[in-house]
Amino acid sequence: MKRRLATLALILIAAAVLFAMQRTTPRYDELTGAIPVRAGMHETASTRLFDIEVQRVQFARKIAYRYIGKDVVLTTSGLWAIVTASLTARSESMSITRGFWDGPQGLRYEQSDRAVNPPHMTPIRLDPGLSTLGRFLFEVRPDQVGDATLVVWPSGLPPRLDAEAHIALDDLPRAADGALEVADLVSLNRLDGAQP
Amino acid sequence: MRPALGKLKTRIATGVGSTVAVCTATVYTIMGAGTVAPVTQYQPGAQIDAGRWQVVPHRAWISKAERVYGVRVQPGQQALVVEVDLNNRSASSSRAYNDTLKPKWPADAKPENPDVALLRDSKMIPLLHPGMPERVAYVWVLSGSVSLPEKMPIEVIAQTYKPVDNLYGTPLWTNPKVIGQFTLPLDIATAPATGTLPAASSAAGSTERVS
Repeated sequence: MKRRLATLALILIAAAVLFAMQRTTPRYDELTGAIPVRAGMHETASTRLFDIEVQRVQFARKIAYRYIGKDVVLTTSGLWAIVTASLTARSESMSITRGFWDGPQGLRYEQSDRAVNPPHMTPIRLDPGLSTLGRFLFEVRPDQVGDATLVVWPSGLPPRLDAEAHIALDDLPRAADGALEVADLVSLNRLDGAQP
Repeated sequence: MRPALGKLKTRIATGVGSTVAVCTATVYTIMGAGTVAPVTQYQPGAQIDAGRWQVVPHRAWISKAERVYGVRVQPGQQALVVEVDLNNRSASSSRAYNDTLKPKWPADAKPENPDVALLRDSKMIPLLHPGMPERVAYVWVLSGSVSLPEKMPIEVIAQTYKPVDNLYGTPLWTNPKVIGQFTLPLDIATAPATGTLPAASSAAGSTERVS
């Protein structure tokens, strides 16, 4: 009787262990995914190929820029988010074609494709040792602004077993009472945001 | 008698696999021949949840102009334009909306894949972001000799979300299925008035207060 109970207990334990192993098996995608390099704003995140330091985040309802002698104004159904960063290649020239805005609940906003060739925008060409200012432009929902992360990797496919930069956007423009500052119109013609 | 029965038994025993297969096939054929369940009918302006997309149909019209929302229409061709609001219900920005709408074409129409244009600034193949509805136009270019019905039925096709696929463990949208249908009247050769843009998302009111 005792032996039988012991056998039964062993079988149950084995089943539980197997079930736990089955549930927690890492997927191929997770095993060979990107390696995040985390940093905050005004800190340098060093990935294998480039360094990035996010300097400023701006929000706007409209953006404007000059393109082939014409002034272009773009509206959005949410907010424009403009991220200005200083970037440097580490060992060889390369370019960065896009960035991603990861919201607090994991919604991933790819860089907006609506602005055609605005100045200082991606693709950003980087050279080793030469720091370049570049911008990433997103359309985001207003509720995806707090606790967001900027994700950047070199042009091409998402990195596998290679570094990608995850920058916590923790220094947003806020008024004294903590409300987010949203400009009505931001001009992209100059990097300091002043009107041309 | 006995040897004959024995023979029959042996035959059944050896042929049981194929017998089951034949019976199953017959049952499936009979079930498949039954009446197909009617698809859900939606009115213009209804919110249709179609997997990755939420579709709000607005209007449809036929254009014979040279260019409609940036899509070129050759002489002798016509374009069916369907304007809908699209809202991305998935977790990432996407352009995978081409197969979401499928008009029920007359037998002689052989349209190509639609071109999709954003109405906000006539951008082709726009990237649509999660939870941010935008009005877009689907433009199908087809031969000018095809006569389209006055009321065009259009099927809405939804894909199912699979959180992890079996090989890579990545999320996947799969298994396209017709989930409904809406019918829009076609105003032949009416130039579009500037359509009102979709209202900003419901959260837009709380723009100033984001924690």
